[in-house]
Amino acid sequence: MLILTRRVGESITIGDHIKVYVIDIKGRQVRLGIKAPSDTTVYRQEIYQKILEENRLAAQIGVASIREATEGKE
Amino acid sequence: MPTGIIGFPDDKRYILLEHKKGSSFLWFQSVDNGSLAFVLIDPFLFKPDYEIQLNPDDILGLGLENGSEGIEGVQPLAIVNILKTEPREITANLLGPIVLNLRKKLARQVILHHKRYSHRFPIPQVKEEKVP
Repeated sequence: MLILTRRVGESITIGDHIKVYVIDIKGRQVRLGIKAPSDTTVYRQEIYQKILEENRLAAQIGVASIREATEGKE
Repeated sequence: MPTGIIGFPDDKRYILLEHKKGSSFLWFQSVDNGSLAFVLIDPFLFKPDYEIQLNPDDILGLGLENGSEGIEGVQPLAIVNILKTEPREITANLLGPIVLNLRKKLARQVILHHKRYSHRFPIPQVKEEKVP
């Protein structure tokens, strides 16, 4: 992982199309601005991780599981 | 699905199928990967006040930029999970629904920030008689 130190007002360019700006710092919080093409989605990592894991679990459900779980419910 | 489902970026084509006649559940089956499929459910069936909010990338990704789609053309569907509890708890991911543009047959997994929806919202027993 590349680790850089930036001051408020400085920025980082990733590849040719992504720019990250350090907008403000207040205590332990950093305010970042991100410019990326519309086909690149930017996620807060912890939320991305949550959705990713949930999707992976959900992909394992087979027809038998849904039938068993909904017995009497549907 | 131009950007695929999060975690499955290479699978971009899906078909929507009924689970069984009269069921509230749907199958989102990958066309290119026969073993990849997700169970989906319409969140309005158990959460009538469910609200989605699309950001500019979502709008672009769903082909809604002309504003020609009314709300009727946009359908959110929640991915269903089954927890390994006894008895089995069925949950819906309301935080990251699959949003469909029905007319253009485009879909996108959208992450919602405007409300604190759960990625594991328990689905109550849905009796067939209650489903409109």
